[in-house]
Amino acid sequence: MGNFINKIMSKTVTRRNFIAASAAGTTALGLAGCGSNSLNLLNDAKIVDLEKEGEWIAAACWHNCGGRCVNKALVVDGVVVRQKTDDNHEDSPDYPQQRGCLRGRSQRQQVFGADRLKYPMKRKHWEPGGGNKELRGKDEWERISWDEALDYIANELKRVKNEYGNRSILHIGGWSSRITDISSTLGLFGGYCEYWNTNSFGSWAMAPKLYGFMQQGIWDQTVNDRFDLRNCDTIIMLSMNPAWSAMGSASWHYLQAKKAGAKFIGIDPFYNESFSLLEAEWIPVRPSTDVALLLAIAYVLITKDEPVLNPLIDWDFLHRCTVGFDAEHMPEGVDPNGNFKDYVLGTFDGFPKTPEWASEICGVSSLQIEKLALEFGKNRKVAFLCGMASARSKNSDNLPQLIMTIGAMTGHMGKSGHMTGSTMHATSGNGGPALVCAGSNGLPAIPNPVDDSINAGEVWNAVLEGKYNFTGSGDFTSEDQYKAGEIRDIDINVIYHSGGATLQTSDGMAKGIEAHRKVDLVVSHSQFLTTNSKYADIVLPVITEWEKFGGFDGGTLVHSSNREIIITYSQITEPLYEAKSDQWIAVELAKKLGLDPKKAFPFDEKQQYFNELASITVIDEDGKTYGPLVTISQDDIKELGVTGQPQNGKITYKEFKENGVYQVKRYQGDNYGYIAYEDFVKDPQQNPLDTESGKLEIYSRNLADTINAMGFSKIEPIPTYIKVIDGYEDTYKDWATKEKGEFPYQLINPHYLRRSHSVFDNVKWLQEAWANPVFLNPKDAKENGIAKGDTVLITSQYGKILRNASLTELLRPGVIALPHGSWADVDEKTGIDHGGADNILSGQTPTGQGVSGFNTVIVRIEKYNGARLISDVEKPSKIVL
Amino acid sequence: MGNATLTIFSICIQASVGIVLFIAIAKLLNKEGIFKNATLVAAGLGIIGMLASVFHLGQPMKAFFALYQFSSSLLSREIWFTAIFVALVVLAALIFMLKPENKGIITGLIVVAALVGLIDIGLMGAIYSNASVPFWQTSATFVEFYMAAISMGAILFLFLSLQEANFMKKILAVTIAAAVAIQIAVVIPNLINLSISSSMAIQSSLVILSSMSLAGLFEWLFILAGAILAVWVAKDELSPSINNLVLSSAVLLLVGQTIGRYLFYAAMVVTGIGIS
Amino acid sequence: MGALGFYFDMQACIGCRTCQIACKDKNNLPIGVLFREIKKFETGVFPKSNSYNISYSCNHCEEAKCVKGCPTGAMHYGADGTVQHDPDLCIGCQYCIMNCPYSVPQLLPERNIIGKCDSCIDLRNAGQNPACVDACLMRCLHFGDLDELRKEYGEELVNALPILPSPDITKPSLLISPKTCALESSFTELEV
Repeated sequence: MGNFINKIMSKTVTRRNFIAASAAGTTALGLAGCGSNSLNLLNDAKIVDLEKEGEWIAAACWHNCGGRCVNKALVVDGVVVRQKTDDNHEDSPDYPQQRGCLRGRSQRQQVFGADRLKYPMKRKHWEPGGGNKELRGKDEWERISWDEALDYIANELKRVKNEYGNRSILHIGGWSSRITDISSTLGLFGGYCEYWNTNSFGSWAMAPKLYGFMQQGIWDQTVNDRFDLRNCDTIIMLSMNPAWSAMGSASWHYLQAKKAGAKFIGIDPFYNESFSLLEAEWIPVRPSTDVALLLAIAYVLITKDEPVLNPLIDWDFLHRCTVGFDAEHMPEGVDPNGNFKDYVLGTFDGFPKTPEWASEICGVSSLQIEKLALEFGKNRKVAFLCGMASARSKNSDNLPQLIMTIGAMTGHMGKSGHMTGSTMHATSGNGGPALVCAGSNGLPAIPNPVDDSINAGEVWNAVLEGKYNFTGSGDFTSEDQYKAGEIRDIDINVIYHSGGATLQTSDGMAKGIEAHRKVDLVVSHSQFLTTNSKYADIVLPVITEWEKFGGFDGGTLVHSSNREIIITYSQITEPLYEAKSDQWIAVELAKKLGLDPKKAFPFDEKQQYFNELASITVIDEDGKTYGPLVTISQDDIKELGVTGQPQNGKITYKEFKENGVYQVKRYQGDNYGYIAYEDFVKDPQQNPLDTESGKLEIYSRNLADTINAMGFSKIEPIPTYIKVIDGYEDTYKDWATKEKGEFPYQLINPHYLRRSHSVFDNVKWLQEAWANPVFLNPKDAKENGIAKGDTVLITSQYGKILRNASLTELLRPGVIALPHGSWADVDEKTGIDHGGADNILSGQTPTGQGVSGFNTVIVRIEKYNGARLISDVEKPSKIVL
Repeated sequence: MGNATLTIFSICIQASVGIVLFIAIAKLLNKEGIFKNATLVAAGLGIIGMLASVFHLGQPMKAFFALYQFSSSLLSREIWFTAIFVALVVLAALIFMLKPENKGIITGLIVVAALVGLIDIGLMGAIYSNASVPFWQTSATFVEFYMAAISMGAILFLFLSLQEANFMKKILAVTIAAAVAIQIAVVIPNLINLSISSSMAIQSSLVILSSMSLAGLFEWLFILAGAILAVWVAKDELSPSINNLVLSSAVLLLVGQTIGRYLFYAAMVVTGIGIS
Repeated sequence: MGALGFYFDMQACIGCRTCQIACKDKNNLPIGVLFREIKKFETGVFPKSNSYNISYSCNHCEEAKCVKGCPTGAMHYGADGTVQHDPDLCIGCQYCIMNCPYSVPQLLPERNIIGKCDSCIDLRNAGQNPACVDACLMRCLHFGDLDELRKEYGEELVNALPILPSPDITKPSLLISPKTCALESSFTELEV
């Protein structure tokens, strides 16, 4: 090892050799456990010389990160020596380069990480039937061949199918069980039990559709496009922090609005980076108390509105576009007394939802609530923008409806400079239909013959207890989901993780680990020893997107990309070690199961790539018609070795591939602008919404009926205050006497730039950049004897974690901010997670539409009396085999 | 590692300069004096000091590059002076061993070496007090270096030349006592002064020192005990037991100053962004 | 023509550390070594608290203490006036580490010599920008002639802030467009 370093350090080595050596270095050093960062070889090699020798290749950056950006890798002799981002065109706010963030810039550290899984592995004490199940997560790993691995899995799947039926195989593929290649194989095999969740969207997942708070068929398209942000007088941000959760250009777009003169107001327990950037006025609300705050705002609007002297409410808008606001606008056949206005005023229940009432719950002073309410006044151009964090709370199903109600009351919908709704992730601050639309790979959809689907909020309990509340089939987007609940027996014997990081990112990880220790077989596909894989029996190493022939990202809006681009990428490196693609595994497993893989995968991955390429469409300059994007020649088809027809588009295949992106050129006054609800607000009769009444439903019978029938928890047809399970009120033993309880603090999980959810958390460069402390207000820290940098033990009713303290006045006292997604590292002796995983602290309590309540967790904090936690970057990488 | 090599370097060079200084003074007072042991030990300390400074470098093999920037770099100058000082003392020592009859040359070399050494200590003080380490940016840095050289030099000179230096015993004892008194009179008030500084770098330095306060206590106990012992033995005639006391005094002073120097380096906090 | 240096628009910075990673990538730096770094500071007390970030690297000072102190000449002024470092001349004495008031130079482990930002002189010679500049999501880093940068981004740019060592020490080639709260004399560094 030392000799190896000396050799490549010595000046006698030619640069070409030296690059080859550094490639070997990545793996050789990795094996020795010093990581790929031990050398600083390239410092003296001039990058510009390498540019001449090597080739910049458009590289994938494919994560669920809140951005979607151009990434390029400089490949010299097969080795990636540097990365860069979009430099395809001059950069301007109107037509920005699609610049990638720190995570994408670290991509090569991840792909070539020393901790990449190299071979198929089996847990030493696993045997058909489960072996010693308790050892999951602590057992040794054994290298096995692909043939052995697939045999083990196939045989166990067959046995379990015969003994318990297909529904005892729980297949999890990330946010949906239907989206991975294994879904097809298991579909052909007779089906599988699904897992579903509302994870990212919380209570925006389904409910908005029912009361009309949706455009383009998507939750977060009720806001106008980014150019229109610049027309706003006031931008009120609720529970959002694009600077940490929507990389790419989102924060830059918001900054343009600020530069154009918009005033920002930020409502959140954290004076976050976005608020700081935009110099927002801060409304430091408590977590999961937005409903109380917004009801009080409605109260102020109603009581202070004076049509001539102080016009706050847009009565015309309410009259034309909504139902349920007051007794005069209630749907037929329901009690007019159940209207929203009378609820807010307390006409019938005797308690008005005053700022004083709300203040006690949400922690914002009544004076500040009154002031904030006036900011919404109808005569200002207001954008009321919301992230989805506060809807990732229990009992929050009415929150989106209430946000819509406030927007409707003040008429901030359907006009330039006015908008209301959620906006997040890659489309943050930039509403409107996709200007470039993704193609299709043409693979047949293989249905799942089993109808079972278990909600994330009870999936681990279901595995452990054999019962769950069946509310329909499929994932949260499925037409067959959100049906009347039905308690079913279930006997899960196999957990198959073919994608995602579900054990890590679903509620109730402690229960999840228990559940993984109960079944007969756990299989996991992954690139690293992720939490899913750590507790598995058989781990299959899969390739990254850098090792695939190529692919595309974007063009479908939701969690995909901004509306103006589609990304394409090419192969950067041969598959590393014995890693294989998910599809290869799906095909080979199908063979072992005695199935015909051709039914699911009738043609190869290159043909799939081509099909997708050829079917991408792009908008014409008229802003209306769509046509093919890519010009493909006969030569291209021949070179690719696929079947297809030449076609004409806006960019040649070669140029598209080289640029790594196609971006629609935007400019002020182009034909691509977007005002949400424009047609509806102009003429609701002619352009009805897809709701029972055709209008925005402040009273939604459909909503209440749907959610109440599901059976997780109850709500009303109008947005009302519901005491939140594990919310602020539950931090008290006795709310009336204000005696604090066992868990006196509320804990939230901000998205964190070290990783994308859980992905990248193992990358040392990123660990170095973002230390992942727990954030505490100095007052809370002091009251618990905690100083800056101390290791804090955080305890909830479900688990315990450790993190080092960062004290900040930017966080509301009483609230703990624990960054989301850190990989669990449970100390088996004490049961304490040293990794600081957020979901060790969350429990299995589904509410409403099956919402995961990540941001409704209550805890206590204390100074840890064990050894101080070392920083994550100092911990050795988890290298197995 | 870094602090240890720098400590060895500066303590050895300063002790060596101190010894050479007193050999020079003794020779001027007593033309017949030889002071062979003292000269050899001074040369030895000089070599150890030089080696420590070389091994402090990330690239010891390229150490001579450090001589390139005499015109602009304080450090380069300091290295020149250290090198010349050590060269002179080593030359003197070699002549002692090879051609001891050349007394005049030896005396000449020692006197020049003493002057070069004194300048060198000044340059050492300058490199640290000019660095962006506020804790070092006081006159106490110079005082500490010179007084360490004088106190260590005097006691080592006495111990290594008991017979020949007997006539200077009282002067040496008074010198040690005075040097230690000056050191304490400057360094302790300086620490108190620094403790009310608004500089975050200084406060950080003091936090480091307070975390090592036991070492600090021993530093001053040893130095004080060494000085008191030196004064104590000066009133008695030479005898084996007295010789042992001189040795004890030397060890105490040397260990005390070494601990002090280690703390000096350990307390290094460079200014930076957010650290004024 | 003025000195060459970085302009940092603090008002636009979101502290994401993309510049830090782009720099690490370009220079292939090991853990523990950062040629560009970001720090976050906060001011005030809840609910009147505020925060700002600073992204900093070598300031390519006109009177660089690292250059003056360097005993070998490894740390030197390049032809364009930026502070450059010759790894062949560097002996790893680390005196520049003690000298730089901004704590910029760092010892490279394994190589045992100093490293620091060279303002991507190889890229600039090839007509490109420093890696950090082209990486910035908020377009808040620029490199160039300070006189021209001042003309383009405003005469009120500063090189002195409460968090910074006095510019009198080394005359840094640095321009910052500060946030108002960054002018407050009391601040706390915040680990994020």
